[in-house]
Amino acid sequence: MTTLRQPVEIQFQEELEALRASDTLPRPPRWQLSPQAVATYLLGGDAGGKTITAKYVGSRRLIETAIATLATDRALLLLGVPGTAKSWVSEHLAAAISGDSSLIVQGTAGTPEEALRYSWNYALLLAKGPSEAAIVASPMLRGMRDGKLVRIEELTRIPADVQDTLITILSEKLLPVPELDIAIRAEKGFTVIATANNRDKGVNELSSALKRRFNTVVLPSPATLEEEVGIVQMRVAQLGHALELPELPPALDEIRRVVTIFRELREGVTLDGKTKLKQSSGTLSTAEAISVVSHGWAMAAHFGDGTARAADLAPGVAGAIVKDPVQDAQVLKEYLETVIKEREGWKDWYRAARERV
Amino acid sequence: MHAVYGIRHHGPGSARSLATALAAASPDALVIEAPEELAELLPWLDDPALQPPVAALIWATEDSKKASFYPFAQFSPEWVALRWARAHGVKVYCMDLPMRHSLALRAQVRVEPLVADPADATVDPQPPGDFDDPINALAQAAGYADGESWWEHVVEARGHAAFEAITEAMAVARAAGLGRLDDETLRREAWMRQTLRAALKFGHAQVAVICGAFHAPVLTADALKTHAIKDDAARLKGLAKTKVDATWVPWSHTKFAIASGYGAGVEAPGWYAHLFEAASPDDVAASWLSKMAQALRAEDIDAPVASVIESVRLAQALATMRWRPAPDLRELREASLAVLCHGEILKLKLAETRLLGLSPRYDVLGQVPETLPQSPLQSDFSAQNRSLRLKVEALERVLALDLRQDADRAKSQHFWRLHLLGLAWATPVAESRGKGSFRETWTLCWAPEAALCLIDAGRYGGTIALAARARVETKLEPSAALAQLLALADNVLKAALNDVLTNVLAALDARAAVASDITELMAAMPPLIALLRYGDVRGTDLSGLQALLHGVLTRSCVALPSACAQLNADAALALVQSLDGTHDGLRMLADAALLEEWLAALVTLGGAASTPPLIAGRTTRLLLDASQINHTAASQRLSQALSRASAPVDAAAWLEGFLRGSVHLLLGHAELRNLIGSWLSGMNDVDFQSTLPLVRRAFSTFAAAERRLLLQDILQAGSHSTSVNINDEYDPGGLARVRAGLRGWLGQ
Ligand SMILES: Nc1ncnc2c1ncn2[C@@H]1O[C@H](COP(=O)(O)OP(=O)(O)OP(=O)(O)O)[C@@H](O)[C@H]1O
Ligand SMILES: [Mg+2]
Repeated sequence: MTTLRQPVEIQFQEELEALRASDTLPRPPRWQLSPQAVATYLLGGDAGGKTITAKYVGSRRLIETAIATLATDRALLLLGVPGTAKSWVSEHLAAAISGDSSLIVQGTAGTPEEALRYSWNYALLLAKGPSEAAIVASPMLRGMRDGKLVRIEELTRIPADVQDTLITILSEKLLPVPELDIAIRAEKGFTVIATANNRDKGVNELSSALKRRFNTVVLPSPATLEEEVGIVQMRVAQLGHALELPELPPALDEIRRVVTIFRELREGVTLDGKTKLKQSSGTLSTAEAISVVSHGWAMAAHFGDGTARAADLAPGVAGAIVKDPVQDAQVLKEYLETVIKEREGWKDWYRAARERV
Repeated sequence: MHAVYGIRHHGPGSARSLATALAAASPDALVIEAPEELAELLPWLDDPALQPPVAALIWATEDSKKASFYPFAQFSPEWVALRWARAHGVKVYCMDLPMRHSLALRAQVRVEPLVADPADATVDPQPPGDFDDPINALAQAAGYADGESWWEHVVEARGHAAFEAITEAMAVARAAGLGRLDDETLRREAWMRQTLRAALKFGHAQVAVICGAFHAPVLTADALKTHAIKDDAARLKGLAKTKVDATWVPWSHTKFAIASGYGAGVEAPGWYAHLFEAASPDDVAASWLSKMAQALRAEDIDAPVASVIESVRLAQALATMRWRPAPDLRELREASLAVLCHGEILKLKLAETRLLGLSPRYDVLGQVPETLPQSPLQSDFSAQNRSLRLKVEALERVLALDLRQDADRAKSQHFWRLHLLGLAWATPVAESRGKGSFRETWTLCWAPEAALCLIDAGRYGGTIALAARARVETKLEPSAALAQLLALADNVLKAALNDVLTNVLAALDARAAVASDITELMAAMPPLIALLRYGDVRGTDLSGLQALLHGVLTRSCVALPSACAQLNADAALALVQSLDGTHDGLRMLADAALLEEWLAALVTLGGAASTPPLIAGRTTRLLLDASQINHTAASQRLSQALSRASAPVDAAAWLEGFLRGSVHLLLGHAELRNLIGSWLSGMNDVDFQSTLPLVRRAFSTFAAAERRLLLQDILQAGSHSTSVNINDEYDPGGLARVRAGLRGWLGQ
């Protein structure tokens, strides 16, 4: 295959098959795996001798809450600041549970009602009049028919009136088609995983009626430096593998420095808690750290000697910090001069980053 | 024949198992792990006015600082067993080492075995891990959140065999070195066995032994054989002894929750009470989540019934996923968070504060019968409360008093007397404003230690008034600091202990006479004046206080000029505050003679060349405010102080003293402002920079709004140069500099 990014159920096909083969526990209707096996798929473990890699690093109890939600037919809302793996978890849950992560509704300000319902094949409609055959199903409708998980990305960006359509779907588990005077009932196994970013305040706050239809799980930013470094390292290795980068991934020490910078500027205080810092307007999420490190690795592979060093990583780091050319540049400059410059063993970073401001 | 029931102290699961076991076995005697002296308190269990949570308090008669609390909740297995025994007329033996020995052997107050076996103590030099509670340790080893869920899921599931299993498990734990087997524990266990042997000899058909699980293995029939009687007896020979007393005191849920001090280390008493009260284990989750929803609604957060149902489903699904027969507190929290609280942890915390019994605001306090024998001081305390219509409650309550009302004044006096005794029940809320007014605010919150404090204070006297008086006398040491004595006088005055006030004032007077430090002496003035004013409010006879004030004032006035000459900068600043306080206080006191003396002293002080500039400036200001000098005179002094002859730093200090506190002086009077302006712009750069911080400090005592007013005033004046007297000699650069500087200081 040459597609740039395979759906995860293909990428992790072997793991999913191993899990399915060794899973003897009861499965909810139309689930490919038992809830416990889904948890193992996401959090890592063992399936009949095969090692299952961790997809999500963090609280087991959170992931269990998410899975138990879906196992009780409830809709799941994954909430969190940007880059906390909401979409990532949602994709893997859909892959593990329904074996299909492709039923997606992308939420934007322009998402129409049809994206949650259906539209018409006008040629057929004109030729044969309204009939079920003339309905062009949305991913939502397909999920309902096939009893699969449907993912809604960025739920809060969807206009409020379109969000309302969801209320009936989630509470009644059916979709009325007034034109045909019928209603399409969802098969068992259907439910929704929505993601939303709780930084986007007030974009389109969910109505309380809609909120009530979801169980909400908040995915937190990684609690500690080591945890975050671990996540970045794991994801960079996986991405590098997909991009066929050379075997030598960036040194743990360099990753730790990227993550240190991100965490310090994100929280506005140095890790030792001693120095207060101005915060940049960039999100500086784990996801960005991952992309900065893998980008640096690619640069080193293609233009350097293959080893990602400060000089390869610093441009990306600076880019993530400086979103506003005036204010953020000042933030970075102050940070470099007051913190990085004095820090033992960080000379290379100081030099490399200084060139960027 | 006897059966051993090893329980988890305060474990609702144990309590339930025990209730079932006792009903099934119907023993004719109960041998329980409690010190012998508890036996005399047991008849009170028949009194419906004894409502848990309560604690048996046992203390050494001679020294009530040596004491122990034995708390009981309604979900404590011991409580359940004792109630059962009373209801069925079954004889109870208290088998633990009597407190007359334990207290003689030990130094401080603590909460006793019913809390966590000392055998599992916390002071082990090599901490064996989190083994404060052996059952918790086993539960954690098995991957459970706490001992309760383990008990529910593992022990309960075994039915009748549960207690045998516990005894076996504990035998293994003890053999593995879990917990601490020190002398104290071994002594206690020897006593337990001896009591048990005596009970068995008495000829009961069926004896039920109820003890913390940890002791179960050493109390079985086998253990009675393997531990030789003569060894046990030898261990107990010649123990030290002291006389003890015992009573019931109210205890509270929050007290159960605190793991140190007097606490009992129960993680969430509200949850335990819930577990105990739930109709059946199946009902626990649904009823807890309903309570959760009610708590959220009480906080004005929507929690529809439909969501409660969904949360129950989620909790059950989570439990199933985790191989648990039923959700425990963790699953219930996760379900509440995801469904009822929409992921918002703050909402969960709000609701849990109400439910878990961890916050004083929603605490549960037990009750003891009023007829309980009490020490004279305790009875007086209750009598006073009754006549003042005050109730002892654990819930924190705020009480606002109006001292013009007789009833409120009496309450205030009562509280201040208790304050003298150190009784932590009523705490005065510091008044932000209107000192000396008619209002006083208190927070009331009863903590069980207060009962011990009352017992302890009994040695000072048999009534609150007598004890408070005697307590005051003990505080009148010659070494006490002036400020301490003043605080004491304040308290005594408010407590209306007028006879002892005379003694306090005498001590104050003696102390003031030897005070060599002018800052200390002057610092005493404002509180002294405040005392006089408070006293007025309360209609106390104040002649003694007046005389004292007069004495201190005279002494200060005489000492001021020479003492001031030696002050360093910090002391000078402190003194300025006392000067201000004294000045304001005296002006409000309306005692013409005192005020006159004071103003005369200020004139002298201001005139003395040795007075530090900060104080000289301040003196000028105070005299101006009191209309002792007019603006012309003040301007004159200002211009002298700012003249080229004085060092810029001194000038700045003078200015600071002069300006501190209020901006109105500058707003109203352009000539003062101009003097300052020309002084500033006349300086060279070096001087300017070194005086800047000082001037800034003067301005920083103005409120932000005042500073803004001033800036407006100045900038306006600057733009119409008519209103500001700008000389031709002014260099425009200088003016710009002043303006820039002002902008900086004035915080724009
Ligand atoms: N705790 C984590 N464990 C594993 N991967 C993580 C974790 N946190 C972040 N990531 C990685 O971060 C990347 C970005 O995550 P994702 O796009 O899902 O974030 P998001 O929460 O959806 O962000 P947004 O709000 O911007 O949509 C993914 O590659 C994911 O692997
Ligand atoms: Mg996303």
